[in-house]
Amino acid sequence: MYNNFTSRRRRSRLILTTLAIGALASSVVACSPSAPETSANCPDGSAKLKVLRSTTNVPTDAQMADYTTKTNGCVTFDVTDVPFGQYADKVSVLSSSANAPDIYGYDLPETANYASKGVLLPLDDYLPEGWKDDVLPATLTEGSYEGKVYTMGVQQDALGLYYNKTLTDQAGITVPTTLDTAWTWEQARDAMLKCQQGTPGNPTIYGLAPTQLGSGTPGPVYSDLLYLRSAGDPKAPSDSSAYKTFYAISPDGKEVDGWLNTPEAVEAAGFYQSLYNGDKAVTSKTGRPNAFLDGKACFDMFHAGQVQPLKDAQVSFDWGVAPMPYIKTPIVHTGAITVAASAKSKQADAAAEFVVAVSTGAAAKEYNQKNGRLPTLNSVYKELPEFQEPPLSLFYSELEKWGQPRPPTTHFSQYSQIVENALKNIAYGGDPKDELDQAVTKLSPLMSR
Amino acid sequence: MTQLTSQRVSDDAGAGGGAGGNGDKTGRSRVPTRLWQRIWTTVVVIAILMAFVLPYEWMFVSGLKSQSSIFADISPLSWKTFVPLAVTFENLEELFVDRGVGRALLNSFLVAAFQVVASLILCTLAAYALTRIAFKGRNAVFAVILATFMLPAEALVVPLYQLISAMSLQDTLIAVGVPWIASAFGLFLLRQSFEAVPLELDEAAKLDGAGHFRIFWSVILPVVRVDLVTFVLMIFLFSWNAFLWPLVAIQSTENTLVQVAVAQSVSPGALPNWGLTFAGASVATIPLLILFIFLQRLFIPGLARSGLK
Amino acid sequence: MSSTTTRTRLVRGTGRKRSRRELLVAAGFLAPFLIILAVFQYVPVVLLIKNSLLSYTLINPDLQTFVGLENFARIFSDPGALQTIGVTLIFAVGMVVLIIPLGFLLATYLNQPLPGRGILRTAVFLPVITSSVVVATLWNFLLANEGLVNAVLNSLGFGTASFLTDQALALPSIIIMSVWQQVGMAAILYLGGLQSIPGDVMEASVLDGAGGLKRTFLIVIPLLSRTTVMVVVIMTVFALQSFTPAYVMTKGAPGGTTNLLVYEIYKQAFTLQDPGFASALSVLLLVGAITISLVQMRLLRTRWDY
Repeated sequence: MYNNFTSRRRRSRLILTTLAIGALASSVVACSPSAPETSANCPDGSAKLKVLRSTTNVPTDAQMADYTTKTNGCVTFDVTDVPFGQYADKVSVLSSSANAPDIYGYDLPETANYASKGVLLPLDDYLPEGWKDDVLPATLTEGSYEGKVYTMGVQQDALGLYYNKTLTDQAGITVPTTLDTAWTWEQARDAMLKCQQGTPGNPTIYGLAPTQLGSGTPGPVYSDLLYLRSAGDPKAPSDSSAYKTFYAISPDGKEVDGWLNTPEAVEAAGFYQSLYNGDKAVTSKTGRPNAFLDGKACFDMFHAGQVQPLKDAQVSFDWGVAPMPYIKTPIVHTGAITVAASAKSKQADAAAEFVVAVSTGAAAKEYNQKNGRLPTLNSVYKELPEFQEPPLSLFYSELEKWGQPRPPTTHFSQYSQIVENALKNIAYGGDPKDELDQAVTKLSPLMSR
Repeated sequence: MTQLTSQRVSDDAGAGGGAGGNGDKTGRSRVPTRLWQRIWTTVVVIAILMAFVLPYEWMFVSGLKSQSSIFADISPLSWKTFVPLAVTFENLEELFVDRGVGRALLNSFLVAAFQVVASLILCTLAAYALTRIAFKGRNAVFAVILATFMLPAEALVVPLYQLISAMSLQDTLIAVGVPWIASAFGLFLLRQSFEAVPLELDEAAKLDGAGHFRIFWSVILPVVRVDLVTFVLMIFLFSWNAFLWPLVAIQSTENTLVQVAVAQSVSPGALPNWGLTFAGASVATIPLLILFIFLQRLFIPGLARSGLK
Repeated sequence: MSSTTTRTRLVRGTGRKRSRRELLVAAGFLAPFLIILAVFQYVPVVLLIKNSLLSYTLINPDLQTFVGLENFARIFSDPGALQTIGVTLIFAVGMVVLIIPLGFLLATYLNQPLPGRGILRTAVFLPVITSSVVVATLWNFLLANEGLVNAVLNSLGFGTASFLTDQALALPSIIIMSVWQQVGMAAILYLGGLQSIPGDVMEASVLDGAGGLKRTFLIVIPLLSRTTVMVVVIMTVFALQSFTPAYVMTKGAPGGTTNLLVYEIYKQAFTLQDPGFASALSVLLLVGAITISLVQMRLLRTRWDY
């Protein structure tokens, strides 16, 4: 009996030990490598940087591989890919944890949010001389928070209206290709309707391709808030609702009531809704992916990043890019995925140096050139003639003339999520005023915290 | 046999009391009625089969098509919708080569194996104590355990994440499995089958000088082995299909589980490629499907009990 | 079964020493289970309750303020939270109302000596063992504008229905999906119930001259009320815990009509950075699930003897 008792106890101890060892082993695996070690090959120390990246975005595998080569293998990377729509969720969980990343590849308008929470490392001590004069003002503004620079921007971006010239020609439509001849949304919708084939709402050829931005469903702030903002007017008096509509948030980034739900915004949201519903619908709520590339759509709202895939796919139709339509004031959102270092990184120098390296000089140029993404450095822009010719030149001039940051606030994650939801509901048929008012009700307490 | 297996849903014809049997209606039968009944039955059976099997068929087949041919084959609807005319392994190749789904499958398998082994050890030991050893407070202990049965795991993700982080286990495979190894459901299942083993067996063994561990190991466990298989299948199933907790607990690509990988390929924030997503969903389903088809008789009693809280 | 030797009366130990030793042995057997259970079930519940009284963010968890019951008060003043609770309840009720008759019919069907019964049972059970992620993914494509269901509708001459984006259709659509997913479970439970009805009860009723329909309503259904209670509870708890339909398919849209409670909890904690409020909602879910389970225990205690 006694004998048995001990043997059983030994066994249960064994179980616990096994568990403990398992736990220990896995925590060792999870632990980050310790502080930089120096060796003969790496006099400045070697580093393995953990990267949290939005899938298929910067820093790209090529950028990191180049950097590893450049540093003689002293800096290597360990990448975690997260779908774009989940990126903010992951940052909130990871940034405070023991295995926080060293490098973030995030969406530029989140800078104020992350910087205010102490997630990002200020880069001012690492900035190359003259950088501030070389970079686009839009990037500098959005990449800074309270006077400090947190990210340098690898690229800039703007939306354009791609068109399938074969289809628009068939429909007898002439599409404008310069900013001063840009369509209003009414004109654009008429053209889309004219070009569309099949029943509105369920066409065989879409007037406007179902969105591929954000999560691939209607509502992303990046594209769809533009309808509302373009109904405003920045030249109107600063207490007018036209002015507030254009900015969609108070200058201190804390108020949305009376900015997001103005009469102008509600009316514009009604127009936005008509693109999805009724007999003037030109696009679809749950559309087929890649409709434009497959030649199943006349128009597609997308950023400059589609130029290269269109060239690569050698599509069977002619295509071009028109400036973004607008309601009253032309506007495009600036900002794209960018790279920054973590404030909590144990390898802060190595992380910051990598950020500077991919954001400047030859590396930036190579990235912009290969991927057809708009340069954010004037010096790079000058060296790359393709950005001075159509179709890319159109995006660049939109950026310069019409570019506005997405509503700047330290609560951008919440703003973006709730406004996207409201716009999605409007596209799906919800009452525009109710939805915008509800978004304001939900946002106000969060933003004043 | 044990209670659990004896209560297994009978598969034999003419089952039970024949409730709802269709025999007596035909008392005043004429041949056409019978014929109509047979046709009606066949139609209903086929309709049910189609409702449940066709979606799977469409999923598997579409995983072998390119996105554009999925769309081309579906409008208009035809037999082509359900047949891969031009089979492509592009989707599978992309899944395994570029997206590391092989790794995700392996991770899911490792977590499930860990959960199965650990909970088997924990639950059999505990079930033995609760059924074979008379001690004061036995019912109280069982109540404490059963109470956790009512806790929806979904409500606990935030504090569990806090806990896992405090133990420096975040983003490890252990973290995905370990919170569930003390499974109240598993214990409940085993307690039932342990109870069904006659006490006389223990007593005989005790007379032979066996202690508790020997009785546990060489008397009880061999008797309930069929139920242990059911137990293993249940834990494997729950572990393999879990989603919310793995989604929260795992951050890195290399530790991703297959269900999370599938969900991420559709949404939110990823542009759906239908062919790829179908292929991913198929890959995540097939292992369990095979297991189920071959071991159905062992699965069903366990599942039927998973509701008996 | 292991061979048993002569049956002998067991000499029961009576001394205190003996029962104390038994307690120690039992403790040894139970310790691993109980320790893990306490750490991963009871500690999180305590943490959850603590968190529900705080206002903080995950991104910066050290900055927290004690707000008392404010998070709970917010649940009842926030129209979004109230809508979430309402949607989840409608989802649960809808599922239960559909799954009970369907599960019962299916079970009655499977209880007959039909050809191909085994295949049928396997088929209706497939979704039960399929993960909810795969089910949601599959149905996302079944119900899309360009999906299989609309293709069938179109080929029958109907127009395209936007199942997941139309306010009137989205919640019914995910209810039907969940019924499809779980009806096999209900059917198996009913089948077990049907087969446990003793044959003589049925024979007696036949002798009394009860016809098929009458027999079903007057005898079978009352005899299966225990099973029905069980199905109701399992499906309600399943519905309360559902997350994937909202996460994978609709993201709560259109108009919040599919914004299930667990999805709202996830969103509040991880996206909207308000884990305190999310914890308050979780406590509510916890209380709801426990209440339902207790009610079930209560109901099942009244046994029907047959």
